[in-house]
Amino acid sequence: MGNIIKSQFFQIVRDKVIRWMLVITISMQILIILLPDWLETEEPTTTSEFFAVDGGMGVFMFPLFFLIVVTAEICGVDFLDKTHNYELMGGHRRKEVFLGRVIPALVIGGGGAFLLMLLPYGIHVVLYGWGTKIAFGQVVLRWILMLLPLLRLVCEFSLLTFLLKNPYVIMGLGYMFFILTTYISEVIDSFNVFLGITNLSLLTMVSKWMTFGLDAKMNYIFEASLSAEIVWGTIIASVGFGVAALYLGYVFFKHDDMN
Amino acid sequence: MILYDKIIIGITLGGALLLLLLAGVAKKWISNKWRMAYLVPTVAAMFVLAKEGFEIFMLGAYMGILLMLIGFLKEDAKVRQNCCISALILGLITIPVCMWSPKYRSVDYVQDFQDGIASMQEHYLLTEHKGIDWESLYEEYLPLFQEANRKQDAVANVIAWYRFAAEFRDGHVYFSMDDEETMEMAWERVCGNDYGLSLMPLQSGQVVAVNVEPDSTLSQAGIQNGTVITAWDGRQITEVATESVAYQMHSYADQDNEAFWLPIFAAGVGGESVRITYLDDAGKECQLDLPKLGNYYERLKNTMEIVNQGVETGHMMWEEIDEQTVCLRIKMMAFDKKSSQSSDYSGMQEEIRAKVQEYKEAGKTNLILDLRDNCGGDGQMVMALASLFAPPGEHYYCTDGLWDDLAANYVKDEKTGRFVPGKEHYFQGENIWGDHIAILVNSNSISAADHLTKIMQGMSNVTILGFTEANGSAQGIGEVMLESGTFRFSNALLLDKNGDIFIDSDTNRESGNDIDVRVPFDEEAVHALFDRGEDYILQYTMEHAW
Repeated sequence: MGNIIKSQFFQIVRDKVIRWMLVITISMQILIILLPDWLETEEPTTTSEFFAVDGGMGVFMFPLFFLIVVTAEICGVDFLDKTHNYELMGGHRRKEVFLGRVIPALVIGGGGAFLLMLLPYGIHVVLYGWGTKIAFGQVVLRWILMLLPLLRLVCEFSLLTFLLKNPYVIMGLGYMFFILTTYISEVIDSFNVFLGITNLSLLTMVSKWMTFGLDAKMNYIFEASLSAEIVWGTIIASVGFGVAALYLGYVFFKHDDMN
Repeated sequence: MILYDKIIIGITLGGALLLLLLAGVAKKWISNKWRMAYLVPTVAAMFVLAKEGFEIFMLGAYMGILLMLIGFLKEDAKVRQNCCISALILGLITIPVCMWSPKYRSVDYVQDFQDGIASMQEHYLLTEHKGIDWESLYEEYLPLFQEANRKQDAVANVIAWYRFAAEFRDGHVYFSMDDEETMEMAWERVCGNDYGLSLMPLQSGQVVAVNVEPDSTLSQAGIQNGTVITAWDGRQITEVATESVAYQMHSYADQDNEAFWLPIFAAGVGGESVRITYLDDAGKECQLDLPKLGNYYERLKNTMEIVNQGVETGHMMWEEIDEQTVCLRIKMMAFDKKSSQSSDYSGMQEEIRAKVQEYKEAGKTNLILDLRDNCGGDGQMVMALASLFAPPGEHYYCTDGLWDDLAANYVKDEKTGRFVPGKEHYFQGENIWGDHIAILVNSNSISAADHLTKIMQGMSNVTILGFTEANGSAQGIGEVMLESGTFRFSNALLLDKNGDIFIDSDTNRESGNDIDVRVPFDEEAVHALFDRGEDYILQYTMEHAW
């Protein structure tokens, strides 16, 4: 399996689709997320305020698309040239062929999306500092937990890729998913752990209390600490749904006729 | 059952039937890819669950959907068929379980109350000012919410919230929900019985019958609009009124306004019949038994509408009253989206300037700003309006409370315990009308309408008139979203020039938003309102304001 994983990493580094996705996502994270904040705000907000007020759901939209494309590319592109068949004929077990793709997808897709999601916050901190609105530790816990739904989404899109065996169909579906999530607040106005996307929304949602002056200046009070219910709900749902998706994907792949 | 649970059951039953058929199709006829069909119900159900959340009484349907997933794992036709049949049965069982269980999709009203009161205790600004005792309020109202929760009675929950909110004597403390039907049912439940009349107090202190049902026992006995009623079931009318739950659900920031409305609630109190004591035409005290006619809610609402005279008209509508008088009806302190987003009301000011010019050229000399039933809005619009009509020069509006970003609270003086003033707001008057202006208010003129009334008080060119004062609730509002509705209360601090709370009444129940001319609610007013359907306050203004 180690060789399969190595070969995947070798392939990923030279993959033009993934390179372009990386460039596009980094650009979008700066242009879409940070630019409005730079243009619209008279006095730049601190990063803690940016997280609580502006940086919620928008921050993970483009990383999500990156995650879907990378997962589809890693798990699906070898179906097109029957590499899986050659690996099986070469003596690798199906489990190794399966995990040899899912593990790089988790690392590159999940980990990459996670880092891309943090990018706007990182730039914001460098420019404007963290601020006092929310304790840094409370947000760090949220970020760490956000990795779990991202990994769960990798597992779910891996399942889909092994079912449909065509990375480009998955990317197309991913694009539709991306569009759907752009309008997520209108389509699924939900904050819970039932879907990876709603779980991410739940973790970016900071309860706030607002007062204002006569000149409409807003004063915010944020409460960013997470309840045990959310923390354990996120862990259990992410692990549970992620493992279930991988198991289903493997069962299908195991019984699949590779011809 | 709610729509989303119906969809889940539809997925369970429909999915089970289709997959049952699929399981019966011989393997040689279909490819391995068809096993993906067994994933579809689970994926679809996950999206629906994400929308509406988990419900324990739907467990049967959820289990059925999971059973269908086994068909994805096992290729055996028998196993697949058994799973689908089991899913079908579980789905069918779920329907009566949900329909007949009173706890299905139940809301925890007690938890809602606890969340609401906890949030309010933390953020409500007027605790000391209004002398609020949180513990005793909690002890008093918890049983009402517990009872509503035990019966899962949404109407009782609304009633409990309204009664709780009314304790604050602050028009900015209120509960609301999207379900208007439940709100209406709450009022119907508490208004009591209709006996064919409402009651209102005259300026003289006597209580009179108003909105009297024509062609009824009342009219046969000679009781008509304006007949003095001296007792209700042998008791004092004000004493009876305080027993009405409908009264207990109404919040009056100012005690004068409360006294004005109090008798109206007495007219719903009673059983199958009530005995009223009234003065006949000769001034002799007589008694009459009145049978119950129905629910009092509609008559109460109608009486309030007639007395309030919130004219049914569009917002910011100009109306020519007579050759000299023009009236601008301002129903809320909002103009358009652009203005509210930018806090720039120059567009509105230009429109008003043009209209004023037009009416001045047409020879109008009297302007009435009708703020009756104005539900409030943006303070910036208040400032824009006030600057148009106030005399030339600088005028004070109010002062923001000083906000401490680090402490996330308004700053209080450690020694005195009073809020520390922040930024003071002033505006420049133009007096584009030039002549005198009358402002009409009622007890529903609240929030920003209270502001406009307050800041124009005492201006040399302005007279404020009404049967009652404006509402007397002026602080900014915050809200807490609860499972059963939204609870709102004062949370943004406004002070006056002395550093006292702006407008809102304290324990003395005097709002400090007085009117210049209290339009007398007398016999003449009663007949004008209830017999001739006239806008009495407007007429009175035209006769007495200039």
